[in-house]
Order: sequence, then C-alpha cells, then structure tokens
Amino acid sequence: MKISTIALVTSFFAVSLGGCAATTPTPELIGARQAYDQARTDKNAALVPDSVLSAKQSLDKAESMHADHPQSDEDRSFSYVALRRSELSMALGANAKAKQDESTSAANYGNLQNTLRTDAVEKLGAARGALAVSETGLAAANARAARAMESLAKIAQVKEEARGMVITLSGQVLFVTGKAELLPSAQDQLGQVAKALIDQGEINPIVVEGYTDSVGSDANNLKLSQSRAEAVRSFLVSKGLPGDKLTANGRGKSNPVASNDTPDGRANNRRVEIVVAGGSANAVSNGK
Amino acid sequence: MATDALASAQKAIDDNDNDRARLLLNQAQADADLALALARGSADKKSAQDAQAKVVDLSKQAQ
Repeated sequence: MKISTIALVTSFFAVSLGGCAATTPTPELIGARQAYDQARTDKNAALVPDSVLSAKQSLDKAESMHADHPQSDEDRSFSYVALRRSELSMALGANAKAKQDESTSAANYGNLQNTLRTDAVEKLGAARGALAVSETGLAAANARAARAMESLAKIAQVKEEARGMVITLSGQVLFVTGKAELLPSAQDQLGQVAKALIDQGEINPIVVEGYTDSVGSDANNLKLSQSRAEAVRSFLVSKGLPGDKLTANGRGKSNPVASNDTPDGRANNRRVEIVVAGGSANAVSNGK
Repeated sequence: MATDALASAQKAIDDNDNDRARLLLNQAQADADLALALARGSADKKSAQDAQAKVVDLSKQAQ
C-alpha cells in the first residue's frame, strides 16, 4: 500500500512535470500569440482577411508543433514564422489602407476638379449672358442717340466744342425783336430739341446761353439775353428735361460769332446756345 | 534578418542538416515577405500622402 502510494505520487509528479513542459510556451510562441491577437483586431488588417487567415493557420501549426514537440527547434521555428505572418497581415493591411486612402483622395480630387470646372463654366456663361445684355443695351442706346442727333441736326446747328455739345438756335426764329417771349414756331423747334435730348438717354448738365448783337446798351443786352435764356430753359423743362440739370445764363453781346457791322452778322450773333456738358460722339454740324 | 536566416540555412545544408535548413528557409521566407510588404507600404503611404496633399492644394485654390 505504501509502495503503491509512493508510486502514485511519483507518477503524479512525472505527469505534472511532463504536462508543465508541454504547456510552457516558448518566447517565440508567446510573441506569435500576441501578434495574432493584435492582427485579429487590427482595423487595417481587416482589409486583408486572407492574410489574417494565413496568420491564424500559421499560429495553429505552431501551437500544434508546440504540443507535439515542445521546446524543440521546430516549435521555435514555427512560432517564429507564425509571428512574422501576423506582422505581415498587419503590414499588408496598412498597405491596403494606404491604397484605399489614395483612391479616396484621387476621387475627391476628381470631384473637386469637376465642381470647379462646373462653377467656372456657369460663371463664364453668366458673364457672357450679362455681356450680351450689356452689348445689346449699349447698341440700342447708341442707335437711339444717333437717331436723336440726326433729328437735332435737322433743326439746329450742332457742333462739338471743348465745353461740350453746342446746339445753336437763331434768335430770329425764337423771339420777337427786343422781346423774350418765344414765337409759336420756336416752341415747335425747341420741343424737337427737348425730345432729341431726352431720346439721347442720360441727361448731362445743360447750360442755356443767351446772346445779343452789339446794338443797344450792354445792360439792356445782358438783361435781354438772360431773359431769353431763361425762357428757353423754362420751355425745355416744361417738355420733360430735368430742371436741376438746366441753368440759364445771359451773356449779352459777348462772344460774337460774326461781325456786328452787317445785318447778317448781327442776326447770327443774336442766338441761343444750348451747351450739353460732355457732348456727344454723334454730334454733327449741318451749318444751320 | 532574412539574409541571416539564409546564411544559417546554407550552413545547415553544408552540414547535411536538411531539417534545420528547411526550418531556417521558412523563417527566411517569412522575413522576406514581411520586409517586402513594409517596403511597399512605405511607397504606398507616400503616394497616399501626395494624393491627399493635392486635394488640399486644390481645395485652397477653390476658396
């Protein structure tokens, strides 16, 4: 009985020691297990499942070799290879992730380019549309101004000077001699002038200047020229020209355009000049 | 490391220790596979970073 007990205890220790040797993993196997655990939970490695499976199979072989031949060269070598397979799966996973990022960036780049191109095309289209509208408007305005100038040229002398476009109307056709009341025929003529100026489009500042010949006193001439200028201004305003853009200025016998020694010359000097600041490129002279 | 394992494998072959040589060759193969993947990874990472940088540059142009 005693002998049997000793034998049993001896057997127990022998089995325990043998079992301990079989289950004590080598450092290589411990490293392989840890590496596989890491690979199994690695997000990038999830992109290469075949490689992770290969690592698992390699670890299984190592575990099997460890169970069959513990602490042997084969045990250590298989574990070493298993460790490397797990590291390989993580490296390949990182590569796959980098490729994925590159593809995403390339797609983003392409989308961004398309967006920029589309925006540029839309803006270009809008700019062309606006330009076309602007050109159409400009052409219409130019045509309207040209027609207005043609109308004006039929009823008055029109010329460009440094001070602007000058429309000259003879005093003889506008007023009774020595008076500042407009003749009925003059009203018709001035009405056409007002219409032409309005048809031109934008109204620039306008100065209505009255002139006389040299007959009579300077004071009377100055007063008469002022009254006539104001009469013309009031009439133009009544026809729709903006009052705040028009001023009247009596200039008396100053700035004669002809000799005051002859009846014809004096007739030319008796006049009203409508000076439009800025002038007009379409101004013409018909010699009236 | 793969080179070291290869040298050891060659020595084992010379010593007619074919079993050990086979183990060492397996280790060398595993080392080489990992080294290759890491080398490729470096290039792939650089390409990905370059692509990302291009997107950032283009985004700045768009602003």
